[in-house]
Amino acid sequence: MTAAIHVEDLVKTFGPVRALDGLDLRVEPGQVMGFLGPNGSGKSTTIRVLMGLLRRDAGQATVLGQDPWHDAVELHRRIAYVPGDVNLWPGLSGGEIIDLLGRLGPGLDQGRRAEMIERFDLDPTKKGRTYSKGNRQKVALIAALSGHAELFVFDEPTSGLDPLMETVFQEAVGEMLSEGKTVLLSSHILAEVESLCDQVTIIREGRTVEAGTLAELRHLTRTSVDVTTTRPLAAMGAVDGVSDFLAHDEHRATFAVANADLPVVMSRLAGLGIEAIESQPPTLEELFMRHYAVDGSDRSAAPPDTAAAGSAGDRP
Amino acid sequence: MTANGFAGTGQLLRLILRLDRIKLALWLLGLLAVIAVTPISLRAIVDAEAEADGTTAEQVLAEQAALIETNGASIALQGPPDALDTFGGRYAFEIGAFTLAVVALMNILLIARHTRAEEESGRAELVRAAAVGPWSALAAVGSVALITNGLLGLGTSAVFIADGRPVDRSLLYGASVALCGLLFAALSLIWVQVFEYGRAATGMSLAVLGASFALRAVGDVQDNWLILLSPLGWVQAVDAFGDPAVWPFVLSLAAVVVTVAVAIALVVRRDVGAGLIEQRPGPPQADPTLPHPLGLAWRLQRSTLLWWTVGAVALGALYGSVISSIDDFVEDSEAMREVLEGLGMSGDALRDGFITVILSLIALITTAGVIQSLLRPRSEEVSGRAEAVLACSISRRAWLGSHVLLSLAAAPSFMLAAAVGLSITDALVAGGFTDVGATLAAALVRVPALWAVAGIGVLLYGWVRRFSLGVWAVFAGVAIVFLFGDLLRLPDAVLNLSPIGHVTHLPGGDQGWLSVVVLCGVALLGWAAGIALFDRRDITDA
Ligand SMILES: Nc1ncnc2c1ncn2[C@@H]1O[C@H](COP(=O)(O)OP(=O)(O)OP(=O)(O)O)[C@@H](O)[C@H]1O
Ligand SMILES: [Mg+2]
Repeated sequence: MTAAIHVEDLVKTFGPVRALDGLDLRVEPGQVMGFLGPNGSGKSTTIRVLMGLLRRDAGQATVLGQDPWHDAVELHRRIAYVPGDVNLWPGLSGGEIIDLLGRLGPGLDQGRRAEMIERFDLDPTKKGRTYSKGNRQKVALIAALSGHAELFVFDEPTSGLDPLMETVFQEAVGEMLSEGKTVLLSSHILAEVESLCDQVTIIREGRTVEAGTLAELRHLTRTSVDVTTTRPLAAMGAVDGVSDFLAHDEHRATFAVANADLPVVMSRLAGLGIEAIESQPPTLEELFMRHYAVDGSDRSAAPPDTAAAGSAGDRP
Repeated sequence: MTANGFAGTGQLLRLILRLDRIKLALWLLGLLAVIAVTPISLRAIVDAEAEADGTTAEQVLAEQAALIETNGASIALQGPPDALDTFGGRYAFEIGAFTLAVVALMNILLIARHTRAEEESGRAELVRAAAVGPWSALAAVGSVALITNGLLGLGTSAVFIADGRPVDRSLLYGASVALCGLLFAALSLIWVQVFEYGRAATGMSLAVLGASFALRAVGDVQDNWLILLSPLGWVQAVDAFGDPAVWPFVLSLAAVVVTVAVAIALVVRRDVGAGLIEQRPGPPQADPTLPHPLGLAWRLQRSTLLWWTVGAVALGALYGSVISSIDDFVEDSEAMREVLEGLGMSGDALRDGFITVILSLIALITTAGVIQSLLRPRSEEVSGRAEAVLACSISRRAWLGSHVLLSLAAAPSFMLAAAVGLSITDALVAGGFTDVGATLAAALVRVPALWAVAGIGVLLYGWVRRFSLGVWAVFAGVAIVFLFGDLLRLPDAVLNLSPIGHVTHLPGGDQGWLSVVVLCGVALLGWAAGIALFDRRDITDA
């Protein structure tokens, strides 16, 4: 099966700035791909290349089997796009803008349009200049979600939406998925990514640093363990895969374990006689902190009682 | 609200000066350059003629004054023919109403930039949230206007004093130039309160400026009270080098005080970001023509285009109403007729000459409208709205092409509208139509000039968006060559480069068709290259 989005070694420069520096991204049909990275890492730039708005300097990009630059007009009949910063025409009403973007784009399903306006609780007769930030976002979302697109590209779609509307958005995306649509979603809201996306790609400084399912990514990080054993456990500190070892007394210690080494470490612990054990899987935050942190070094934002934000050298 | 209403004015003032230091310096230098060049070149012309005729410079000046006094076209363009037998008066005449209009323009743009545009971008909210009073923004931008116009006035006086004009008269003239700027700054302060949109407020101020220019033109040609309706007319009525009048200063200062007071009262009556004119709701669904490249472009541009068309009719109508006074000049004066016949001209030639100048002037003014229309894609792109549309199934060619098509259609519409307005009022005043066909043809023959400037604009925009405002520099160049080319004694090669003025001789004269062909060629090349280049470049809002 050909990928819905296939990007390899993508390079985009703005004068001296290398916004994308060999980025890779692959989204299979029917997937929801979370697209993550710190501010200025190149998410919007990648998306604009995929929408044929920016011309790539080097590398490959294919969207729905076509070239995003040369086949833009044809492709855009199959893609719905919501930009990060929605700007509306001050003199056009919300309803007019929905029709404009919908009909010029992947078409509009009148029934769905009415339903989405209802669900997002939008007044379509207001003029563009009078909408609040969240309502501007809704206008673009309704236009995108009311059409017949195969692929949805969202650049921080829920920025400015209230929690209720965020839920409406997540439900709507869920419905798109059940219809077999593909979604690329750039977001800074981790809860949203966790609940919507089965795959994530994390980029930093224009390069892909991690890609895979959330489960796979968790596997690459560390679990923190607080254990009490019947026999003394001081020797555990020297075991491969154990770090940040802190002995409270002879029988109790906290430390971090690389997930890949968990089986070995657990069997060693079992040999010491486990009295009590508490382990904490890495949260998504920890996962991101680790990748967002500059040069892979710790960010003080990482919670001190977990050892998730390890240095790059610790990676298994 | 007491003194605190103005809290933070000092910081805002410094901020504006910092943001604008280069822009304002360029405006001031440009204006002062035009003002300073006038005495130098005029003196050279007069001295040369005096030497050739073996007379004195004063005599030459007096002879030329007699000719200018009968020349309705230059009076309409430049101002009342006061004190033309003095060097000071003649300089003031040559600097003219048009330069004063540019001073007004500088002020209108200054005010719009630091009031409405700031609010639209949301920056004003940031500023107001800081410890800044509701009137501080007004006070700050008002102070900048005071400083700017003060410098301009002083510089103008300095130019005249350096040329050897009497100090008191020179200061008076400088003051009148500064006053002109302040009047329009104050007027703009009101419009930016009334309208929610910078574009609408600026449009309204420009309409007032256009009306002021036209009213004083008619008033000056007919030498009547119409100048009292025009701030530009007041300023020129100062007559610094002849018989100075005080009333224009009193009237202008009173007007400034009243408008500023009204603006201050309006500020606290509205919310930041809102206008005084309420928004009506729109239709819940789009008209079927809207989701179409041309439909969208038309919807976005139609009000601008309609207003310009209305303005063109009005401008033409105002000038048309004075044409028969030109005929009267000739009929009233046997001597005048003899002079003209001696020069091989008939009364008709004077009439045609007037219409030729007026149509060229209207072509110049409406070029600004065409440029405004063709720069619409630019503001769509800067705002990020172009991104949303071009991410739809619409080709870049269709998108840009639609906007360009409208700006092209605008050129003949504006020119024909002006010609129709001119013919109608002329007919009303004279009691019958005269050669309407020739007037319409003369209007149309100027259209390729507008297209050529538009072509350069499209080329710049399609190439690199940052360059697209360069089309205003082209416009400024065309305006300078048209308005000051003869005075500056620019070589023919340069005069012929300007698409407006020198290359058109209709109605009445012989039209060189080569220039029309060349202009159409430039236009076509510009559109084609601009659209082709646009197909290749990045769309960004940065
Ligand atoms: N048109 C442009 N001209 C110059 N530099 C640009 C342009 N667009 C983006 N950049 C630069 O490219 C880099 C990537 O920007 P991009 O907008 O793609 O980041 P992002 O990941 O979307 O960030 P955010 O999370 O803040 O939205 C940044 O350094 C930015 O300054
Ligand atoms: Mg972004």
